[in-house]
Amino acid sequence: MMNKRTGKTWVLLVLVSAFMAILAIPSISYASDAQSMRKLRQVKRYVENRGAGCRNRAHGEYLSRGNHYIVRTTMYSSNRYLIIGAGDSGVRDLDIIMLDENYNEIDRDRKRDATPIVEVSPRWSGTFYIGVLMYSGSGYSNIMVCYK
Amino acid sequence: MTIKKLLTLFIMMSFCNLAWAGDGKPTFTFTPQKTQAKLYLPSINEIHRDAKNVGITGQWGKLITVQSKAYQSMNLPQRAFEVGKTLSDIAFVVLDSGNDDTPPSKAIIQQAYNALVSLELPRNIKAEIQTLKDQLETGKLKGKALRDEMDALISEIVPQIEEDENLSIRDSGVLVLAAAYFKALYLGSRTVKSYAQPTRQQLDMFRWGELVNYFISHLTEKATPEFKNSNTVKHFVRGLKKIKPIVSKKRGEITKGDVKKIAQALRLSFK
Repeated sequence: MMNKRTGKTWVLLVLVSAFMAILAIPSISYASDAQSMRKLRQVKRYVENRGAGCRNRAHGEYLSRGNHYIVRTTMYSSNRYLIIGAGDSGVRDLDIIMLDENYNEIDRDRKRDATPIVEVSPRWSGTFYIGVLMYSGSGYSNIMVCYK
Repeated sequence: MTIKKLLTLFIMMSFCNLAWAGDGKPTFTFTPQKTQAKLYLPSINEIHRDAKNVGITGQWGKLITVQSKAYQSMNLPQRAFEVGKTLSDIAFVVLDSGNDDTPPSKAIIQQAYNALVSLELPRNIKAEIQTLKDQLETGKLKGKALRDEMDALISEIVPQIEEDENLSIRDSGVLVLAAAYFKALYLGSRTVKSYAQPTRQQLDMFRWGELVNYFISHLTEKATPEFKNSNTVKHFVRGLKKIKPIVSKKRGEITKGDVKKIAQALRLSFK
């Protein structure tokens, strides 16, 4: 009799938790984008204090583990670039990969963290691609291009 | 590990497009057909910094004259284009000023303000512009902070207009942005074409293929008929189409002759 009651309580608890989780999802995802932007602004301030300027717009998307998005941009050879990124609390390892116009890898972030920074000095002016890969975890991430 | 497990791992790795790298992390191979890459526009400040680094901004001061314009007598596309040119000129005058402690003249602030308020703007942007004007008039904003604000005005506020749901406001934003960017390209081409032997770096600065494609596509496909069929847009797009094969060249292929052609093609819109 006791076992049956405990079993029912557990089922009820699981159902209530699942229901609350479903209700919480929209607010979590909204907060995550803001959270990722907040972290990105901190990194931006850090690089700006070291003399870099940053583009004013960031690019961001939700990514699940193993997924990626690519942004194409124009970069100029006399500038030194810092591509900064930041993921929300669900992101464990976010990677930034820089590619040239022929999709050859120039550089990539190798650290296992959610705030990647890649520094590149383009050897020529033209189109470049910035790949953002959710290596571990999942959530919102934003990237921004800064230059010195 | 059994052969079966190894095979399963190999199949999973192929499926995920992953391969092991030396640092213990799998590398990721991006393939062109997989990409739906969004365009990330550079900032005016960044373009100006590169132009300055490669030594082509020396004469810009002489080429730029910030004039007052009768915006209200112009149709909307022409007004937006002229506003973009004025903002770009003001940004370059401010970016070029060597003295970080000197605020811009009241006349320049008024010119920027007049240009912006001549457009129909979303309410939040009007408020941002008023705040910026107040800060400028008190002289609090100067040096690097001022340059950053001018850059933000073109790189952040104008793109907000570009995203507006009202199509006329959206197209105005795109045209302001286009005029501001291509004024820089026009000034650059006028400078470099006068050099006896421009360097490879100076010539490769004109590889603007992505930007040209973006603006041609918007102004000929997405824009409303009011903008698409206006003389201002038609002349501008004609110029962009002329320079497209040049600015899309591979690195090392743009010549001084090409730069002359760029200056000529954009002259009608930016003289």
